[in-house]
Amino acid sequence: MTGDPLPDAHHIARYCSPRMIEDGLPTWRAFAPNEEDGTISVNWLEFFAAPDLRSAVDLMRVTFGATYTLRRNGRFAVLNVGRAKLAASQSSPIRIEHAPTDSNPAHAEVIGVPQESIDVARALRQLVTEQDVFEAVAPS
Amino acid sequence: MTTTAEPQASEIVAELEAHGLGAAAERISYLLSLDDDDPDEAPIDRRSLRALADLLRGEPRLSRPRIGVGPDGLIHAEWAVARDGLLAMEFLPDGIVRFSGAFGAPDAGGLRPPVSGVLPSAAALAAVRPLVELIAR
Repeated sequence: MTGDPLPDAHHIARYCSPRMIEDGLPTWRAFAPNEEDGTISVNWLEFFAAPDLRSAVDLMRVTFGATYTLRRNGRFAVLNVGRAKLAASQSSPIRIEHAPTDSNPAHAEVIGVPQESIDVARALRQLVTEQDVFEAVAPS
Repeated sequence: MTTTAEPQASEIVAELEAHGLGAAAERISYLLSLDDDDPDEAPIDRRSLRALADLLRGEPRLSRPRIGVGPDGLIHAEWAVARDGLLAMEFLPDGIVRFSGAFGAPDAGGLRPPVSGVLPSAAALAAVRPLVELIAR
């Protein structure tokens, strides 16, 4: 439901455009908030009730890709909700809430990110390793 | 009235190559090739690119960054600091740098607070000097 906080044990995926990917990993800027509303748009993976994260990413590609153009060299970076909140808390407390839209019922938002600082984006980037990154377009 | 000519991307890339910064030059050439890929994203801001190039030429420890471009066309970079740390910078067109850096993994607890701010390039570099000293060349 809109505004519900996501459980700390759950996961979110952030789409990273090809210009923010180098050697398969996102740069910190991929985790900066939207200029319009100050939130970071993400996808809530457990929404899909898939048996594992990889399967959830597969389902998310279909939902997210239906309304958003996914680039072949783009990536999804997956973060654990609790670790993301803890990492950001060094600089600023954040909330991660379900924010479904008509086209994307798994949509969620990271809220409370100060727009004048890049501390949160840098901290979230530090959490990402190769194991947390998935291709935006399913390998054929 | 004085005007400043828009720097040419090809000149900046050639300059980087001439200064032994071939990896950065190659990465920027690749990013320039993506300029027309997405109509929702702005092309690389040449003044932002100029600011990155000036920084790389001036500080040898920063010579091997990971480089990207935001939706607004601004260039950003990051460097691994020591084992788990990261230094992040974004280059605004007016010579201002937005930066944030920290030692250690951010969710490990008990770490020093991050160093961050928005300052002219030279002042930003001075502010992050302790982190720069820990970047492997």
